[in-house]
Amino acid sequence: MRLWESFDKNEISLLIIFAAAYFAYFILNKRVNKQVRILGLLWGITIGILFDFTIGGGLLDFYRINDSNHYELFDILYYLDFGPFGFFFFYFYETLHINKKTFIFYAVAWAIIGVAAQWLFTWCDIIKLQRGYHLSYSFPVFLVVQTATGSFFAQVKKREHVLVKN
Amino acid sequence: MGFAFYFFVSWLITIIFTLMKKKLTFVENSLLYLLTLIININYSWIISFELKLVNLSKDPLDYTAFMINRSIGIPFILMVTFNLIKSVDSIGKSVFIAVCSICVQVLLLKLGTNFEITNREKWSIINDFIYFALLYVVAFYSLKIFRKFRQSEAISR
Repeated sequence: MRLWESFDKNEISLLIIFAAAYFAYFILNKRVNKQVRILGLLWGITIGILFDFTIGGGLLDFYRINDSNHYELFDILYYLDFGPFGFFFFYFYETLHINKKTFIFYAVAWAIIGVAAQWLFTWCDIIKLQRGYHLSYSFPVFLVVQTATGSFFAQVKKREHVLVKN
Repeated sequence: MGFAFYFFVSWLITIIFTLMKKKLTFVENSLLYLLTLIININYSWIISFELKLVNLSKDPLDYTAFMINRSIGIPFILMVTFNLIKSVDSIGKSVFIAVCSICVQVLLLKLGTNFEITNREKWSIINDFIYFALLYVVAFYSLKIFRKFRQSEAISR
């Protein structure tokens, strides 16, 4: 595995995003059931990996991550960056008391955040869109992802206490 | 043919999982699914696209069949296995179930060559056995650690 091809804007940006996201995660996670917070992290990382290796690689190969199409050390950091956002989705769903009426707004808001994050990643040269893929195509992808995340979390909520007293 | 076969296997194992009496909780099953998916996607990517030890078909349907088995078949077989293991009371039976499950997983990968979905000339079947054995061990210990995190504090809702 390569570490990186050239240590520049994308690697530095990834380090900053990683530090900021996990800092926020460790601040917020104290109130959340340990199993649920682990699941939130895993959910985020899995969704990132699943979509990047499905539409971002293989036959479709719609975007390139970091400096090459091959696995680099910073690709792992990129996937780990998704983890806290899975947790944040769970956390704010619970603390904002999202219900059947407000879920549509919540899912759309997260889909917009997803597209904005992807624009930021493109601007930071972390991902490079290719083969005619346009940023707007990510909106339906994020809509599906956020809806699936909300449905999954609703199932978790039914069975587990999400917020706990310290 | 390969697409229909893997679609059927994934459908079947998903239905079996849905209908079976589950001994693991929802969050435990979710952990197993997510963890297996992360490991399996990375593993299959590394041996096929990075190391080029296993060549994948460029035919869209065959490639989809590979992804269905990668993302649904393999994780769900593992989840069904762990639920079955939890329902038996002896280590011998548990090991037997795990070994049978690993054999099914390896067989499903091996069948990929028959359907011309994968070309595994540079890849030994022993590697698949080792991979699945390690995957099951990692999943087993991850589940064990995850259970320790179970909290019963009062909720603040």
